[in-house]
Amino acid sequence: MKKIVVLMVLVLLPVGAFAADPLMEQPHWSLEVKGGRFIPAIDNWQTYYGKRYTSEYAGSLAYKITRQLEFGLEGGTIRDKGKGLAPTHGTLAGEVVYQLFPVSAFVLVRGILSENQWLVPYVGGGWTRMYYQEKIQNQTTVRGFADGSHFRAGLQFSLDGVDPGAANSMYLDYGVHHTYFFIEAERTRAVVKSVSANLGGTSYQGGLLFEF
Amino acid sequence: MKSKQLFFANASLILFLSLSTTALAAITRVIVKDDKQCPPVTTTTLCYTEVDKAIAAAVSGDSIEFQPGTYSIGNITFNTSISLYGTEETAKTILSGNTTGAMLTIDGATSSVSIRKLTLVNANASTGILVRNSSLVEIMNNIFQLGNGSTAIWTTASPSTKISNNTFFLITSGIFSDTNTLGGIYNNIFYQNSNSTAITPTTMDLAVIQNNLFFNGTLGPQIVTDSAMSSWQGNINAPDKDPLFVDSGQSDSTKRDLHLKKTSPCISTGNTSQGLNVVGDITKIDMGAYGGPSADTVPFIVSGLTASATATSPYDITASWSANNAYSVTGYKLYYGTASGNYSGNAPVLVTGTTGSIINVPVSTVSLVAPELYEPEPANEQLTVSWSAVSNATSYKIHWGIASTSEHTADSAASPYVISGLTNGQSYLISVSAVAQPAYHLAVTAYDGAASTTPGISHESAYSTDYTVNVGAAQEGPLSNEKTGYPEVIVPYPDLPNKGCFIATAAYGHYSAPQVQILRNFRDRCLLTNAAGTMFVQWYYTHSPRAARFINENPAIKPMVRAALLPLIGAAFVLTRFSPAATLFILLFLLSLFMGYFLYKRNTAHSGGLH
Repeated sequence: MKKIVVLMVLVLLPVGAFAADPLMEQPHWSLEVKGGRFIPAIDNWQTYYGKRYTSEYAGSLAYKITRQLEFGLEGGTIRDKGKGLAPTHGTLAGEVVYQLFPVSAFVLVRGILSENQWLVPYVGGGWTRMYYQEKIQNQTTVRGFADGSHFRAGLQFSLDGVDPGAANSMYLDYGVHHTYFFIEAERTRAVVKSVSANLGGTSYQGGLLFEF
Repeated sequence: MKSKQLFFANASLILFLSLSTTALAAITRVIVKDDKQCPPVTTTTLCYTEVDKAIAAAVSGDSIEFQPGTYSIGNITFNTSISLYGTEETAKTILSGNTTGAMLTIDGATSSVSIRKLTLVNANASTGILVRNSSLVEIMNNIFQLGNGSTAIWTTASPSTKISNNTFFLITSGIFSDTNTLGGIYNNIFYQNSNSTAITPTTMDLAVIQNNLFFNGTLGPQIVTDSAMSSWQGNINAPDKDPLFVDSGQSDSTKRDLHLKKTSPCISTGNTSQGLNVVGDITKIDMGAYGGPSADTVPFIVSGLTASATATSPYDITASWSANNAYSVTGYKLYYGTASGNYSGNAPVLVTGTTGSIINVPVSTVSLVAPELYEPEPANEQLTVSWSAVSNATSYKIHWGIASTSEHTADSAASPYVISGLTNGQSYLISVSAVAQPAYHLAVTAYDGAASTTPGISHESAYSTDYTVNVGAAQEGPLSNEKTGYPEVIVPYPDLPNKGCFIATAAYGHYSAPQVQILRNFRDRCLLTNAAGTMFVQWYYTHSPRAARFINENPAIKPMVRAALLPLIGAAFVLTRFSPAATLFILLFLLSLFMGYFLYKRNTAHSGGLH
């Protein structure tokens, strides 16, 4: 724990110097594109879908109320293909394509103290509606949704310093102030009450963040 | 001591001789499209996939041998005494340029250079071959298809250059030279060149321009005046003397067939001082890229092969194909066998036309064993069956039924097969058999009049695309082991409620309950097929979730809701399972039961009143 605190202090030390730059223009919007693994919270997932996780892709757009605080919307897709249960046989059978489309409204706090800060921690959370769809071999597709919440935290690494020329072009051509690579973990909970099934899970994703 | 010295002297001599021999041995540098086509690499054979690297590595005396294929090149310059040539088919060995300037430049070669049996294409209107400050350059049996604005061959300060048996196809300038003499321009075809400079300068010494055909079509004037024609030897320069290529109309330059048709004026009208034909009339020489001693000996592949067989024994196969109209083709060989691509067991049928028959081909009994049938996998109204593969089987027959497997059959090319349209909960017996359809595989080749021919190598085209023709009835092997299976509704994981049948789902506990499935079927088949039903479904979806939530929050009322839904589920079952007539009968029967019960109760009540 002590080591982590020391590390955070070291990371944020240069920030104080950069923070004395109030005239630098600040972005107002955040656009994220990301992808990674989704580990469903449902038990026995592996039995039906072959592995413990599946892939997830998402994107979000947020408006910055302040340089640190932003509100936004996020949409994603999660998909896997597996087997169903033949109840009287007691065996796995049929083909099931399971898809989730999480839609979230969130508030996010980014630990930005300077426009030149290269490492930014962030944390956020909000409301989630998890739309689901189950395509079952030769049966009616099951559709519905469940409401819930999510919490996420991550670290973003500024790419502006990696290629200043490209960063300058991004600003001049597209108005992008900063580009970050980020990694994050997200926990979602959305329970279908009638069957007590939590469609959420844990995501580990990486992606690009554009601030403009 | 003396013997030791002698030993070293001998060893040094052997080493020197071996090194000298290695240095002097000419190397054949084979260029292929794919590494897998490479011949075995030896001290005299090397393999490349890039043209420029092969030419750059070559030294005087080497050969650059192209396997058929299209090779993209930029601007290649060399001055070594080497031979560049295509091995098999001129039209299939293509150097494709995409830059301006010259594709091949021979600059300062002091001894012989030979370029033959290649097709040069370049959409960017460039120069094909530039010969500069060189001697003894020979360009023969090539096809130039460089497009408008291009010059096929440009010579400068290279008066010994000889250009023979080439075909210049739709090129602005065939040959351009800065001298009035060259080593010879013999037996070439200049086809529809778009201006008057098929050969420039027009003041070139006519003695070196012999036995060429200049066909301008409608694209330009003739290259010399009529008065000069008398000075020419054997040239044909008339607008109506079409060289009659087999197929020059293809827009794709790589698909054109510039062989000569039977009545072509270029047949046997070449200058024999340049050698004699190796195909066609071998006492004469033709003009163009397919004439002379270095021409291809392999005709183009025959296309369009189809065939059919008589339905009953004796089985005769009749095949037909598209003609290869090259004049040198004297006939066709129809090959056949029982395995694809292997025709070695039967002598080919020789025909001169484009149809051929194979009479009374034998049909043997195929040995088939029973496949092993695995446990069928259930799904909603379906069973997926799978089985082990059987050698010699060309397809499989699936047998199934309720009382026996002979009630229904279906064919499948391979395992697995999905049997559809079944009734959930009903047991079915299933078995599978292997099926073999006796068949013959055919291929056809075109050959010329040579004494001996070999497909794809000498005087005979490569095999056409293999064609399979079924002969005789399909033979079915023994039935597999029997399996029993019954379909049922599959429960997805997780078992989530659908947007629909909310009340029934709540009442029966889960979405996949059979009763809920019956109501879904009723919705899909009876309600959503008409406007009124669709409106009802929409109304139901709007209002039923609240009722479903109430049921979920009060589990005690679930039995009552189930009881209330029972008549509806029964009616839905009848309407979705039986024919309209049977449904009407069942409804009338139920109605009569109800009426009977009602009348009975009323009569009982009246009787009670009288007492």
